[in-house]
Amino acid sequence: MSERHETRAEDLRPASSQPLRFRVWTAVLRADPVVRGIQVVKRRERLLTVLQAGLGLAWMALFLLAPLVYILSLSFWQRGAGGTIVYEATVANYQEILLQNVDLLGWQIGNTYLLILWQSLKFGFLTTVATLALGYVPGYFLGRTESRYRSLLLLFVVLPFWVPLIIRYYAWILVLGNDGLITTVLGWVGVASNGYLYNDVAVVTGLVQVLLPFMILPIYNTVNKIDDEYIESAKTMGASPLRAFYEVTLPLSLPGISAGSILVFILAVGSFMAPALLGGPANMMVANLISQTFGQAFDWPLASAMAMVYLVVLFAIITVFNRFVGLEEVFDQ
Amino acid sequence: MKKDGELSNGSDTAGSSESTESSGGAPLSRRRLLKAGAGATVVGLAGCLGGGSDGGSSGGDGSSGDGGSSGTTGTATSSSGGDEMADTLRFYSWGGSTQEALTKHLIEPFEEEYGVTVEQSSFSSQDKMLANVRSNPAGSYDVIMPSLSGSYNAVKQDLVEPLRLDNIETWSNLLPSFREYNPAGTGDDTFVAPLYYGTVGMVYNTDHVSGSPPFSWELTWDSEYSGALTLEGFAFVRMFTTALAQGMDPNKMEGDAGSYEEGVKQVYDAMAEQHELVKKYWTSGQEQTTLYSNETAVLGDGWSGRILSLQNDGYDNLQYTIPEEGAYGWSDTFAIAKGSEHRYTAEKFIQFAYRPEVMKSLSPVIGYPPATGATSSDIEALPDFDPTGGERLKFQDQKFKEQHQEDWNQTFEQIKLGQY
Repeated sequence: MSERHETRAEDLRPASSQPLRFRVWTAVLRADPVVRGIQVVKRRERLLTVLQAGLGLAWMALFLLAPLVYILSLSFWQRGAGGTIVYEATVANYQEILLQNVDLLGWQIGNTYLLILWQSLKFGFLTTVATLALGYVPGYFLGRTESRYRSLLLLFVVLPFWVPLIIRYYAWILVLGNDGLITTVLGWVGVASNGYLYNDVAVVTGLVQVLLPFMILPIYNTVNKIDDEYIESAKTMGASPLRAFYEVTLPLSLPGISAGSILVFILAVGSFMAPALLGGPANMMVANLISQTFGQAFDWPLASAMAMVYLVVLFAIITVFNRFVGLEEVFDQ
Repeated sequence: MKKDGELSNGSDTAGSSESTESSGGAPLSRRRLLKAGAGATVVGLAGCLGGGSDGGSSGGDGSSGDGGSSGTTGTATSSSGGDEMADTLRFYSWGGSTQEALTKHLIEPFEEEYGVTVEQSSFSSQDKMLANVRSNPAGSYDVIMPSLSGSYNAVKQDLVEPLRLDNIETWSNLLPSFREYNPAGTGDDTFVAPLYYGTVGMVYNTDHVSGSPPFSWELTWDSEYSGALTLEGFAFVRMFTTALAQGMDPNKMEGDAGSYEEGVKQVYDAMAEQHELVKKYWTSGQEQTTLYSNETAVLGDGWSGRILSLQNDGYDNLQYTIPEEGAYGWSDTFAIAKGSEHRYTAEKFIQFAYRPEVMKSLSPVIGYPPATGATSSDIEALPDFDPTGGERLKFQDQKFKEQHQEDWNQTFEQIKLGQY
């Protein structure tokens, strides 16, 4: 280890000139257990890898998995008076979420949770389609261009991340709202309106703007890695540029498309602020419902069950997606 | 259920980092890696679950010994301290302009007079406050600030100490309508000291709404204001106000037939009808300000304090009024957190706050009239000031709310989704 080499170099100097901390470090590093420990690790690189990976995994376990397990266990308890928790195991929460007001035979679902979940998935799908439509060309361009401004353009793609999310949504209120940018401009040409906020379109607009970089960047990444020679040889063999795109570039950029889509979809379905700030009276999404159940109704068990059902549904969708696209390949890139 | 930035700050981008994280090319098969991680996972879980359940079981008797709180654990009675002033007081209040006003007009004078250092922290919503009190070790807070509706949960969750009224010499200053408030429904103890009150009254824009007060809530069912109406988005406030508009007692909701079932159906029907006119249900003060100031909404309900500050900013066309049927009343209160080490000091703090001169300087700055009898021309000019001494105020029966809230919430969601 290089640290040990450095300490040896320090040793050559007169002891008195060494600052105390060097002497302490020297002593520590030369201590028998430390030396032996380092040697053990050096001999077994595998252990070192496990240690490194273990740190990250432990972090995830502590801050992702453990809270999840806590939420899972909460979901089987009950709400008592005043938002207290009654520690008696029950599946009533799940029954309420999945079965209440559900008439499968009559194909009628009056269950608010399921309706809102369905609405969230719809918003997620719409946002994904819209970001793909808007993001593919920029991603493709950035991936293929030889321009010396490419890094500058890439910077523009990530620039919005420097602005906090809530501020970006508030900016949309200023753009779409009454007295906002759009109504004012339309007012000049004689179109009167009361703003374009508080409806489905406003929610999707906000989500698309916020999530677009998550589509552009993976597409840029895959397109950038496509070997020019593939495209050139297609053209040499007589393919028109359009055909070369459809038969070579597009299939090769599919991993980027699916990576981007899955990221955008997950983030859009779980979005909280867009429906809260830009949505109308009917635009509630699953995150808002869960937060409201946690906060206003103080029903932690029910909210936890909602979160678990949401998680399972999302997981199922991603698994199905994985079947078709092969997510492992995507992230192997 | 009021004040700034109430929207919880859930982040849309949360979760992106873990999905893109790669395993960094370790020469390990995936399965092995997962196996290796499993040990660490179990250890992590054990630690975390321990902490989690401690926080969750709010009624712990202190014997679980959650470390790190340097001897603050213990039962309520043993931790209440002697009848002496402590050096510090941990104060947990609303943030924003309320906190600024409290600091200047209450905390600083109190510190000066008693030589106590007040350590402040703030919250942006009732549920966050209660969750924090619940999950932090006992003794982390001395004085907390629940709203009347939050105080019911605080009492039920065993998060507050009863007030020893003998120690609060100015208690008799409190308006009679507040003195009887008893969120726990036990009748024995008093848990909260109301500080100021307000209503969820009617807001209207004089450029678009003609006529003059007194208005009736019926106005908010007028289809003329379709698409220009905004209402508070909490189901229990909607139920309360709608019941008032229907001429019912909002704490019984018995319709003409005299049964709750009939009455609540009538309220739901009215809410569904009104929903068609609503542009947006607001849930925070900020949203109200935006909706009314840019005239997205010209009629609806709101908090007088917000409308007052808009008027001060030059929006003279915005008016606040309490309709003839009355309005949902709320109050922010002081309560003493369970396990407080400075209970006596906290009581003296409340005693100080109830002094007429303190209220006279504090209340106009906060923008809401005091829950005590203190008055001045500034206080009487406040939109929510009730000259009858609080008799016009209508408060929600928290037990009634607790009993029915789940149904109200669900039906309100169904109405919003067009499924009612």
